[in-house]
Amino acid sequence: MNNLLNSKEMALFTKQGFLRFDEMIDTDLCKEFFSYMENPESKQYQPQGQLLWDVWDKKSSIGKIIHHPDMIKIIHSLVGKKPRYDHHFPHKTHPGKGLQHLHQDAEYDRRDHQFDIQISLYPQDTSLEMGGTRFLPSSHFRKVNEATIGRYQHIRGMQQMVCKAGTVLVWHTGLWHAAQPNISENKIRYMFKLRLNPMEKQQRLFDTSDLNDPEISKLLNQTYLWHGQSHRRELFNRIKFWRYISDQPDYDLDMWMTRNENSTHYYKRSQVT
Amino acid sequence: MSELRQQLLILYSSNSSPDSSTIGYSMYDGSSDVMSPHEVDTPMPYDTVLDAMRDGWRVIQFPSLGRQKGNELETDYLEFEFVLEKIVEKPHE
Ligand SMILES: [Fe+2]
Repeated sequence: MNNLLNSKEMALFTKQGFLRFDEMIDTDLCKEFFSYMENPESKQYQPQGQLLWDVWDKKSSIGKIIHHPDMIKIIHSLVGKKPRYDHHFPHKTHPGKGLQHLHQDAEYDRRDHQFDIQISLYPQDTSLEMGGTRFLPSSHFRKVNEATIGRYQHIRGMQQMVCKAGTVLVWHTGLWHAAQPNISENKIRYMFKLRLNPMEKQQRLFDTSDLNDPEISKLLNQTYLWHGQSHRRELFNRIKFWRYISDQPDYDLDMWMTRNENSTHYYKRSQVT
Repeated sequence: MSELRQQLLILYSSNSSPDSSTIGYSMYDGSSDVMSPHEVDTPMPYDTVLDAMRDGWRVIQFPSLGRQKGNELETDYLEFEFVLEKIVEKPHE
């Protein structure tokens, strides 16, 4: 069993700013988790700045979710083995409530390549009407600061979480997103959110045995219609990020960075894609 | 006596030309009490700004060009935002 995400999964994360794992937590544990979600005390932040693994009792339902082998795999690969707990929140949204403006979470983040992750767990089947999170794939490198983008309603390629119980969305905290209104007749929507900080360099934290897979440059090269004229600038963003997280300072796609850096080296045949 | 209300349609284009393709839109309707549309993946109301103009929308703001020196490679907000309006009669209750 592989206990880390592979390079292709990380390239997908680099390209789109999130990874989705459908039905990752089994339904029994999801059911058990509702007592946690319904408990008003669960809304209290835990003391911030702790090592994540110390925050919740392993035997509690929230503890079992945090220590679920697939959750550990995701966390280790993205933010390392000793992530810091930032905050969490058990969201509970009644019908008729929930519409948020499009935004980017939390404070202005000045880091170049290091990043926090947010984990969203949907513990119940979430229909379109119940209004799961909407988000804009490949918006994570655009630093805009919270709801300064609030007037943007529709952008081509936007997605909304419609999923089965136990589905997990893990995303770069730069991703533009918002809660959708719950327009169902009588279904309360639940979503558990957790933010984590890395405590080490986010370099080669994942399984790098497939680092030279040609699929990676294909993924990193893909276009999004909504990028329009900024598509090439987005490629620069991805290349810089990929260079950092894969620790390959010369990595490039179609020489975009190379020709701009006045570099003097040639590529070996094996490096040319 | 008729009462007039403003409708705003904001179109985001893929480049600075009003006939380039629409990549996003927002609608704020001063003549209606209905919640602004929020569904994802709805079709764009017009393929281009020019198509909207041909349908009676008036452009009231045009995106300006150029980024601050040194920031040419930055990516942040949607760059080509056209604001259009229609003035309509307030519907009778
Ligand atoms: Fe948020």
